[in-house]
Amino acid sequence: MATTKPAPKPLIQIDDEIREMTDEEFALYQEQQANAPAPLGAPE
Amino acid sequence: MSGTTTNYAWTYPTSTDYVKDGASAIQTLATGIDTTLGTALNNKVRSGLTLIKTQTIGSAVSSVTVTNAFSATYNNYKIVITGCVGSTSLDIGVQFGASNTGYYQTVLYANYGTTGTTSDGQTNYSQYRYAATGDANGIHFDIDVFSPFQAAYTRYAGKYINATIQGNSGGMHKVATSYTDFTLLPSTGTLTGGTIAIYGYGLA
Repeated sequence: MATTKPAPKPLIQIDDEIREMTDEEFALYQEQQANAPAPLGAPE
Repeated sequence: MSGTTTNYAWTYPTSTDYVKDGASAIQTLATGIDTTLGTALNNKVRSGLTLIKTQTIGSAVSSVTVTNAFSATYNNYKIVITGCVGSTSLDIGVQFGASNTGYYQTVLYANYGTTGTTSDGQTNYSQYRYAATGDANGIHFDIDVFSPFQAAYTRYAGKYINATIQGNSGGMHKVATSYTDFTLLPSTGTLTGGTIAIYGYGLA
């Protein structure tokens, strides 16, 4: 039976270290993304 | 019998002085040099901008934290990013330390080739949402940060420039805490490449 590999989480950078977000960081990230207003001005 | 140098009158021993007096002679010479350099270099109190550190941005990152950017050495800072692109049209928010509340901000902007301006902003938000902006052609990030290391409200002022509009943004973080770190938070998508440069404003 095939198993589905979970999608990688977004990358977070702290100085020179780059890693996937933790579950807690990802939850906060999703909340911020959901509440973020769109960039001002219509993109070309 | 000691002599003195021609330009700054630093005292030095002559070849006939006693060796046992050598340590005292070196101390006198060192003090003289230190005084001269202190005067010439304004006793290490510098004016203008001094590069504190740089940080290369990785590939497709959703946030970038820079540690040890702010300290007691400088009150105010300039942060500039060169050569970075966004994966899409995005804003770049800024947070100080782990603080995710108390950010008040306004951006006043106009579309290119038009008259009149528009404003937007947030109160008691989770970050400085409109600190910078950009897209896949490049991002523009140029902000001044005032007193982030002091346990006081931190202010910032910056430019908000993308493909269709240009504006000035600024705000106040109404949390009186000292911070050494800051984090860049794209509103959507990711950032790739380029360098973050942090400068300190001299006190003189």
